[in-house]
Amino acid sequence: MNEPILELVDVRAGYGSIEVLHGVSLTVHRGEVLALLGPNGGGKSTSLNVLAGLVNIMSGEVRLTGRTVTDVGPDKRARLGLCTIPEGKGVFPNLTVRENLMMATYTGATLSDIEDVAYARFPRLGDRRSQLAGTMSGGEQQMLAMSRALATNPAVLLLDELSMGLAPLIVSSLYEIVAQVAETGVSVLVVEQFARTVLGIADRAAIMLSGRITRVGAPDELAEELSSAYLGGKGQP
Amino acid sequence: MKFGGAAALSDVNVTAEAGAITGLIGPNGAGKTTLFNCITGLLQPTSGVVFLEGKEVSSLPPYKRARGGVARTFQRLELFTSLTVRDNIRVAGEIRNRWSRTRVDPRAEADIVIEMLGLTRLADRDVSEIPTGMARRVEMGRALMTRPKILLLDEPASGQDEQETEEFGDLLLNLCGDGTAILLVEHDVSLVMKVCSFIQVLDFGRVIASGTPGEIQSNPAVLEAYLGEDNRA
Amino acid sequence: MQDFLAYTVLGLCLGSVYAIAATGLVVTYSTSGIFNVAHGGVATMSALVYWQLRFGWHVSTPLALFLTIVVFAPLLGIFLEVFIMRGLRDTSEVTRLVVPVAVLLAINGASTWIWFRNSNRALVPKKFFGESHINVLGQAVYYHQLIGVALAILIAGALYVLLYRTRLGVTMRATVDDRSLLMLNGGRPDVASMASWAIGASLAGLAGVLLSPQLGALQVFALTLLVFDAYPAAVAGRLRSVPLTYAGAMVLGLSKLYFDWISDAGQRWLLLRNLRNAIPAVLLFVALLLLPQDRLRGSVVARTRERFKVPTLRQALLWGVVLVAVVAMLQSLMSGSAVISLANAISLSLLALSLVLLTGYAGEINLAVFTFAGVAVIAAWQFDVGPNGLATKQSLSVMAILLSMCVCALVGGLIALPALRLRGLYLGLATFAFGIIVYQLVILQTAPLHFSLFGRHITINLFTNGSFTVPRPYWFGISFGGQRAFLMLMTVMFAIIGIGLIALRRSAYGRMIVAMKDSPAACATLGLNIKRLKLGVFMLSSAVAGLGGLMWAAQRRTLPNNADFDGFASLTLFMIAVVGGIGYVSGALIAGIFLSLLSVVLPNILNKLGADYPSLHWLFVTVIGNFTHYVGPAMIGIGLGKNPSGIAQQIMDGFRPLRKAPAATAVWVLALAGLWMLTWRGVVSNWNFALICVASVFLVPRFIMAAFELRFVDENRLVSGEDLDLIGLERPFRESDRQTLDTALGLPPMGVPRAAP
Repeated sequence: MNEPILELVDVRAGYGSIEVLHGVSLTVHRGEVLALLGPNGGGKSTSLNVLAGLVNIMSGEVRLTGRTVTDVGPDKRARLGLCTIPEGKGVFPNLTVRENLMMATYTGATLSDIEDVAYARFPRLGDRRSQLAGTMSGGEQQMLAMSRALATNPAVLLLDELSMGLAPLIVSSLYEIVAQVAETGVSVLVVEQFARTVLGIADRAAIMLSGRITRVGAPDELAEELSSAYLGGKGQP
Repeated sequence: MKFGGAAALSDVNVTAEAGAITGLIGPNGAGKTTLFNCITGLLQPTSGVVFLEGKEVSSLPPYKRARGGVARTFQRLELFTSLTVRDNIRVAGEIRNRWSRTRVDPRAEADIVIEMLGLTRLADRDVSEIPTGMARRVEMGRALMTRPKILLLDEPASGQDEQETEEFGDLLLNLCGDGTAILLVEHDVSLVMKVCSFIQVLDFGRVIASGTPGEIQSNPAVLEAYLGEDNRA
Repeated sequence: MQDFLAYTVLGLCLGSVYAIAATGLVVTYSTSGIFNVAHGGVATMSALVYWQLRFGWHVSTPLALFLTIVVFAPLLGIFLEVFIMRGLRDTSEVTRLVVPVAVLLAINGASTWIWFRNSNRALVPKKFFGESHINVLGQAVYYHQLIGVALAILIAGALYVLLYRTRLGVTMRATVDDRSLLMLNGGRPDVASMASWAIGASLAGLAGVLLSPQLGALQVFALTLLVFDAYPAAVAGRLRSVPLTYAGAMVLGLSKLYFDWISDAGQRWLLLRNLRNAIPAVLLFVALLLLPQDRLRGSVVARTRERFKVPTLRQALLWGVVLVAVVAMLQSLMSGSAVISLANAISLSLLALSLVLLTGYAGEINLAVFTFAGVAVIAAWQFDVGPNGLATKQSLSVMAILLSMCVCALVGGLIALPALRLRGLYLGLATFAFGIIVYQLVILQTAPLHFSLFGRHITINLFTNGSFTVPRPYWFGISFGGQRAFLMLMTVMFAIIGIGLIALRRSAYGRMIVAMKDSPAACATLGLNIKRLKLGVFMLSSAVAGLGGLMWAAQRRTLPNNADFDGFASLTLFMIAVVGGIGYVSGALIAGIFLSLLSVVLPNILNKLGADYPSLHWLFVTVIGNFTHYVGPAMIGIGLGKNPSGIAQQIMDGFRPLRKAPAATAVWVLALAGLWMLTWRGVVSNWNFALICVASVFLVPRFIMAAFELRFVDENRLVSGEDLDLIGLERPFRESDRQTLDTALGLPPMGVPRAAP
């Protein structure tokens, strides 16, 4: 296995006085795709927000390429090569497509380069470069969000519920892109409710229940356990 | 109770019957909370109508619908953070006394509800200090104080642990035994399967399946919507 | 027709300057959610800085402009953002309004101190290019005005380019859209906020420089009010839209000039000659009526930092008796002038009580408390004293008080109506506008109004001859005309109303208004008609303000029409009340004492100290005196961002140890009572008594804490799971601890019967 690139070490975190993560340790290795699965309310999104720096932790440590970044702000982490696409709102709805891409230039890439990559990969975005992002369809919005990942050449890509509210066909084509990004050597952490969609591209998977990682393993091993984790009563009369 | 069509929803028809728990499940972003907002009047649907006991209530403001018997809980908690658990529930009864023809003793009534919901131990704490799962019960207690004809529960079990959820399920069954209609949005599918007599599955703002728990569990379209299509091939 | 066109041109010129001022407000509001009341203060100080550079130090016009608009004002804006406004995230709407109010008062205090401290010298502003003008259809249009129009157009264009063509501008818009997503992109929202505050302040400064020649001589508060006139334009743009703000500004400018035109520059209708000054306030009401309804709000933030505990009725009664007893004991020791100061304090506290109900309990805002006092006085006067004057009446009758309370309630209801559909900030703005309208049209009116109604001739005396003389009560055969008796009457009133408010807060009605403050959306889904409840609370608090206002007026005896009605006094009282602890009745008391201390007592003490120790005169009078006089209250208000629950809360926390040691507390109270006896007898001097009292208040709680080894764990922290490990270490493990642990760990209840309906 490769060296770790992004780590949570025994992290406790939450909102206000309510603790959501009760000691979570998770490692993303260089070049791998790790899927973080589990039912809602289990703490997946919180873990991702902790990694991105949006949620402060109560105890534990966050490491990026081996260095502690616990006290580094989310904007600085982004400039260090952490590309996070949050759940369901990866774009600025009141900015145009082009202005959205302009915001990606804080990572150091130039706007023209980003536009080239984005419009080449998603010609539909090229046609709509001066349309407000919020008026586009959900799939197009996710394409726009993914453009940031494609064009800014991050070290790690964090994806939260990419599939939320999207048709299965679009979801699978988005995950094809994720797979392509991963092939270029980018490490990826995918948080996903739709387990099967993502198991196909994942190198490893982890299941999270009630603020704890309950299982880590190869996707095939975990596939069996999943239906019971979601539908609970499956198989019962 | 009927409902049709909203911005995040298209051509949705949902019906809840008195004395039964209707489950509403579906992935995140499927439009369940939007549906609740439309039913309670916090959002105006672009088209479509809401009927309560056969009467159209679509043009009524939220408080009038509540007086008509619609009560709800919120997925994103909307507790009265300056008040204790007891007063959160009590004030709902006091609000009811302002509009209802039948008067109740809010304090006594609140004590009954608190006992029923297993909140006795927390009754005199500030609501901002209690765990989420318990806070959801407070919201439910508040809604019950209005003696609703239909109760809309938005993810009431999230934040409750297994044992609490178990108790909670029994509680819901008792409630609908009294003739209350319950519309339950929940991610804990085992709870939904256990308590609901009828389930509707919402996806991309439309109903993709409906039926009894047994039918839903064996419906391939549901598994698809929940787990995503099989991508491993 | 020609006149019409000419006045249109002039109206557009004025509108342009308003547009510049209002756009600055919009820029800061949209990126920070803070309605920067201090905008007017920034404008004023910038105008003064420009005057200083240009006419004081004779710097050339372009350089002076550059230094003012491009260097000074933006730096001030950045300073405000970084050190003050940034700390206001996650605070309630009230705090986010109070702190800018405090900043406004601080900036204006500083301006006054810097430029007008020693003499009332006249700083005469001049137009750009002096009196050079062109003639448009017979009206002189000055180059100065044309420059204003050109700048407004230029700014509109520049803002467009900035916001839509540059990365910084797009970042500012992105900050509004989704702050955390911007950070995930690597952008820095803080930089964007600083930029928007710099631009906002710069626009304020420019507006200040452009508006200042309207005044014959620069005056801090007059100039601030001129800039306030632009605020309705920003409200017309919903505090977000620049084009709508421009449109609103033009309407404002045109309205003023058309009024000049049809009223012959105010000469035609004498009764309405001040209407011109009230036009912006009137338009604000119109804008509020036109704004679309707000979506029913849920709780804004999961948990605001403000926390208020409610005392029990028994505690309230006890403290009420204690207050009356303490005031009675104190006044027996005090000299006449000190009694007056204390009475002033209590009268202001009575006025502040209305805010405890409205703002503390219901979360709504009233920025015109003193205006209600004025309304109450006018109403009581009509009823009680009548046209024959004071000679016929020696007492403020109970009937007059009740009547004026009713009038205040009605008036309050009318103002609240247009703002009921909207968020609290707008209700606050509506009350402020109301304050200005009443000030300009009613209170400054010195001629009596005569009219006929149903054939009866009616005379209404407004501030006839510029002032009212308000009699003090003569009730139950007791005259409260003397200062000491009236002080005691007011203290008893304060205690009774205070206890009444606490009883109200503990009643069903009180729980409902608190619930409405916490989550209007949840209340609506429980069947509560929020608009009606809000209206009711506002009317009730207006009535309380009316009562307090009458007492305040009776305390002053003679009430001139320039007394505290121009809006700033109401802002100050609101600010100090929030600082005192708006959720507590004691907060109102603290507010009154504070205001009285800062305005009268403290300067006296400092002056006396300065006179007694001439070598330290510079310290006591020049430094401390000036500071407390000009910016002291405002600095306290600014500190609110750090401790939003107010001073009353801190004091109560300080006294918490006493509850654990009743015997020691009793000894302390008895000792103080004994000391009072000695002082009363003349054995101990007043100064020593005061000194020992103050010292013991600070020291005794600490002493008790040390002596009894009491420790207080912040209860809130226990649930967070941080200190759980320490439970049972410092003291024996108890049943309550187990429950705390269970709660924190989310364990099921033990020993409690299962849910069984």
